[in-house]
Amino acid sequence: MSNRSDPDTDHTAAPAKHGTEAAMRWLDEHGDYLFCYALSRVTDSHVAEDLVQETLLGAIQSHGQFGGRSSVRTWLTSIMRHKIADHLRRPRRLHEGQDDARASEEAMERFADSHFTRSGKWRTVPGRWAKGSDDPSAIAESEEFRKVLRACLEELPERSAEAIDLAERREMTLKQISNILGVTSTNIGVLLYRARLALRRCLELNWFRGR
Amino acid sequence: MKNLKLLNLNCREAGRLVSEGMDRELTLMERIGLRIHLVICSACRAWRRQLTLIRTAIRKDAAVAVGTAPEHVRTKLSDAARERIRSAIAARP
Repeated sequence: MSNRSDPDTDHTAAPAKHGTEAAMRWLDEHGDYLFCYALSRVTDSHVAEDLVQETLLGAIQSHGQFGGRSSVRTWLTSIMRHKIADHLRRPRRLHEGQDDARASEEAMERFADSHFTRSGKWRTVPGRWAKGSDDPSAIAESEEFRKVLRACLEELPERSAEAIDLAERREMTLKQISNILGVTSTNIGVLLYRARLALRRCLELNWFRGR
Repeated sequence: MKNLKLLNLNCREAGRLVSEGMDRELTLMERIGLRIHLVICSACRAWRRQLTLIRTAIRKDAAVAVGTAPEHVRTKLSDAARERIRSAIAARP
């Protein structure tokens, strides 16, 4: 009886090394793709990087179960989707205490109120962003613009960021978002309104001013 | 909001309805009241255009990020991030 192990089929012989080499290959071939995928679901690029890492480490664990039925990229993407779901369910920013969360939402309220006079008129008239018939989607082609947009999204307090993500990226209704966040539809409406005012202001300061 | 009030919105209220209209169906009265306000208020029309642009940009960012856009537009992992991940993989027990 031979004790020789065939590296292609014997997963018990030096599995750690086998998995490590495979993961390095996956990082080279699919790392950017997985990063983009994660970025489309979470706004923070550091979180997206961590998700790529968790996905690859998780893939090593379940490498034995990958039967080769689908492509490697499809398989890694399905692992990534699980990691993203786990991330979204986790209570985020644990270091942000209840007081911080409340304080930032009160700041959002004051900020939103400051946009209007007592009689409800705009204090500063919203500016023109796109000249005339400019296609808005053309602005989004710019990598620089998207960097600014992502930075602005990262500035939002937790719940506002989550609500914006659900409304804009995942295209959910107020009712659906209120179910997910456990807040009334009315309050979600207010949250989104204030968050949009904040995003608008951030983009105005960091992109449109002087353009 | 009471129906009579809907026919006489100020910008704070109209701005809120523009935002709400992006996430739910407005009632008939809300739609009418908002339309009346927007006809006479260019400031709120500008606000609506800005919200549309923000929505377009965020969705475009998502679409681009998933790799449906040409290579040069897609975001890549930074070299530093790659190194970190490589180390983490190599450090596995």
